[in-house]
Amino acid sequence: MTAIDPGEQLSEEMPPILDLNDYVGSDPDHKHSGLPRTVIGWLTTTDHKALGVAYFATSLTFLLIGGALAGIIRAELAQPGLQFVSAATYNSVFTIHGSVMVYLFAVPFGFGLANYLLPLQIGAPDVAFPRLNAFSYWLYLLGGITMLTGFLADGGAASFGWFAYPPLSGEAGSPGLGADLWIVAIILTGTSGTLTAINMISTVTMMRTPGMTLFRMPILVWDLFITAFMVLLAFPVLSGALLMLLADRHVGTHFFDPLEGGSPILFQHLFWFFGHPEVYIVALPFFGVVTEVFAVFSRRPTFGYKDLVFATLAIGVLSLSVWAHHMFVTGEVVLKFFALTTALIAIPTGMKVFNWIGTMWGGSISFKAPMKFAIGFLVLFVGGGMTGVILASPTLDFHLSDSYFIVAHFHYVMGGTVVFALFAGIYFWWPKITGRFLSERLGTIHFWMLMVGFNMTFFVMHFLGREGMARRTADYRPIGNFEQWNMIASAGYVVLVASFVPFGISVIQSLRSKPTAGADPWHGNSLEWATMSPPAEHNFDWLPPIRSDRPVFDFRWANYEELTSAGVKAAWDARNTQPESASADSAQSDSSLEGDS
Amino acid sequence: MKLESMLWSGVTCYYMMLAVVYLLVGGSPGGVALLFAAAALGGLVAGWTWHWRRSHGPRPADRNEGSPIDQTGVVGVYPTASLRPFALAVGVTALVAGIALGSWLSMIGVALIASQVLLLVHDIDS
Repeated sequence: MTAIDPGEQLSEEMPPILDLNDYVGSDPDHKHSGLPRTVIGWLTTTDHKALGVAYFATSLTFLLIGGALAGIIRAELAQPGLQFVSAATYNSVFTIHGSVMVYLFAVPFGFGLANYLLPLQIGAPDVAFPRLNAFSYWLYLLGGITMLTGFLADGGAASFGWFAYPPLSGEAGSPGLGADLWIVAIILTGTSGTLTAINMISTVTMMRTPGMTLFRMPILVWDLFITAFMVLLAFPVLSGALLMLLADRHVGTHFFDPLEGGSPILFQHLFWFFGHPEVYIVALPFFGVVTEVFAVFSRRPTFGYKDLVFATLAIGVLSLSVWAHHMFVTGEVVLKFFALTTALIAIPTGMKVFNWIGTMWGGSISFKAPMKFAIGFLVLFVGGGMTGVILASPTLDFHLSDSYFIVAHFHYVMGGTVVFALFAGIYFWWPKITGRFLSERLGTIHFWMLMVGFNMTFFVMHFLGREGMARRTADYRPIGNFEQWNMIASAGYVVLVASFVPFGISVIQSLRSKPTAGADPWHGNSLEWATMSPPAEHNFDWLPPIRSDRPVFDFRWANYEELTSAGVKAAWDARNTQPESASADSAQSDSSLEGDS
Repeated sequence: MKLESMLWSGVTCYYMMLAVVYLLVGGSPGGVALLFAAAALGGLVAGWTWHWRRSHGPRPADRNEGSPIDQTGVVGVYPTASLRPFALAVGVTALVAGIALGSWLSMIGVALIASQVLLLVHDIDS
């Protein structure tokens, strides 16, 4: 192998940069979408790419539903007094808003990334258990529908907040069917997540292509792998706690009933043992997304690859030891222990920010739409992280707990960062998934409107919280600057919603255009760029040698002798021409199926 | 598989150590139990990876000089498209929702789950 210095590429003596399109094949008729084309096809598919797209579409639909509920909240709070909904309805609205955003949008979008990209990035033809994967998706969708049907129930949807503390969530505190449906929904989606985690851990452990050692995996795969490990430890605890709550409500048990010897504090421990890792379960896949984007659009290798991996591992294990910092105000937890572990988690998180900046430093930065959104993510994440350090201190937490400061912090770390990284990912992988580009011009408008709208809405909430406005209240007194701050936040919401218009136009324009992206439009690093766009049915007809964490970059810039040798060419041809028996097996499947290579 | 084994063993040791520390500083029984459970679950995977490594040895995916073309032939046999995962999910939803909506729904759920599991097993056999 002879590596080529990029600075020497203009020399006529040097071989040209290799074009991936010459190796991955193509679909000249542009008919291949990689997705089922009928309802039955979608109901029966077990293909990881189709299920990935299903996760994306479903979670984005839930984002719109959750966003619409946020509109009711902001409309109600724009002025003091009750204008649009009753206090009881308001309680249901903010409960389902939070639940939809956390359980049905943010986490499942990460599962969509895992479904679509993880097998591609490790060179696998599918996930380890395709039918289990399909089962997980349907469980998630049915769980989501179950939660929303609560609005049709007598007494309305659940109204106890997204963490459902008893005794408020008990039979006496929330007697309606809506509460039961909420609990059932979370048990179903939690089980779905656990099964997805098992699938992803198995896939990473057992299905990496030869040469793809653990420390050559893309950072996104590492992040998804560690997320899956956190899901595996945290989600069953949530499902168990909610089954206990359901039993308290219907079977006559008293796990959380203090009058009968139960403990509501036990529920809080169980919930937050899930709930804090949940923050990182949401965030880590998006950390992986921006790591990919920073490296590709800075034309630099990821700065401190192994440091990033170890930082992610540290976040993973520490996140399961900080849960009770959400319970400081109960007076029932060891403050020093949880203050210390919470502060510790800032170190690996800070390392990540340092590595992202290091990746960009000295790079040839290209400010395409994915990069803009990734930088937007970085700004908001650092802002949200700083207020997290404030809240790690018990003395400050006592003052700020249950105020709008918490709402602001939470939306910066769980809302803004997720949405910006999500759009970085969508603009980045859209050409891979569809073979088409999204508009750069509309992407820029989208980015700036979202940035302005988001900060208008949520930044002022820090001031509201500091001045003492309590969260989860439908009304407030016109004291201090409450009216002005709330009006600014509600106006910001309008801008934020409007930012989705250019994105929607861009999507429609793109889907109507011809697929011109080719295999590797961004000059990417990882293996998903070494197949056609959209990827072939079984992902790869051919793979480059894997000698680092950037196999596609290495391939473009290096002259691998083994690529052009007659023996290797014959071996790939033989592999892609399966014997009759294997072909017969695979012929049973529909168009969306299945790796036989 | 060596790195995977070490990774999961590290997870197990970390949570075991943390559980002991949390116990010593007067942590809640629920929290102590959860941390020991986390250690046990990590240990489960660590044990499996160690066992797999001992019984199978190194894999092509673990070799630095491995090449994708080393993995020749049929890499994996994948299931055909199937309605069973969807039907099974409907059954599980009915089972759990039945706790709140009535045992009749749970019974439908049990019937659906049983039928789909049987069919899935039949699929594997065939």
